[in-house]
Amino acid sequence: MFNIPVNGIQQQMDRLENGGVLVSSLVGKTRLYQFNPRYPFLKELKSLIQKAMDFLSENELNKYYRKRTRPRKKGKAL
Amino acid sequence: MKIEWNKVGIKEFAAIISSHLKKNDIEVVLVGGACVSIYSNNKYLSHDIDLITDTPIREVSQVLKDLDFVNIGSRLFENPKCRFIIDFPAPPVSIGDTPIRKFNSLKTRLGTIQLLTPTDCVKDRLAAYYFWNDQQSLDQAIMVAKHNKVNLSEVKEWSKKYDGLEKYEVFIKKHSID
Repeated sequence: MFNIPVNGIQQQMDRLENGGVLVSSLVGKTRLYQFNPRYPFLKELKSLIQKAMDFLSENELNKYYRKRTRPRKKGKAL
Repeated sequence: MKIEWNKVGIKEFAAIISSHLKKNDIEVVLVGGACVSIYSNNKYLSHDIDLITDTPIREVSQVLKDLDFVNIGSRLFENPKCRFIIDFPAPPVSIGDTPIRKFNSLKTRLGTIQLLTPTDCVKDRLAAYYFWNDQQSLDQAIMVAKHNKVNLSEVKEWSKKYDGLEKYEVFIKKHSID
């Protein structure tokens, strides 16, 4: 999605999990990550991310954060 | 003293590791499932101990080598002769966004363990039940509350903060039935 190698992202996910920021679980063969609700600075971290999102250009927003996330029936074109 | 790793129980294990680290000026607090094992007299048996420390992992790693525990990555340590694994979750000790500063101290013949109080242990388990609807964690919270003195009004107040009142009532109901 971001045009960068997947292992770079995996390494960062590992670091964030070891640091207690994320938690993960295995669903089938896919490892799903989410924010760790027990992370003591979660509220502040989310505010910081939101603030950073507010500063993204329209171009970056459209490119990375405006993908369809609602369900789509199998077989229909995206 | 020669330790027979395959024979030690989880409480003794936590005591041996905590004391060895303490001898080397590394303070740790036991959290997680091992606290449940200790407070429920092994009704629930954890397979690892979660220790929180402010000391960098590379220093912990050096000290644990004395006991033949090696870092296998992701802040986990194992000794092939021992059935328990040691995990060092990232500090600080907290339950949700609340820092924990008051701990329980448990003396054993093999050393002293610093661990969550029974009330904080119940909150810690309930947090997993509130966040992920984890029924095992609910059962563990009940086990701890049944075998120990737990400040239930404190747990109730804490539950409000995490929108957990509805689930707190389930905990209380099951706690009084079981």
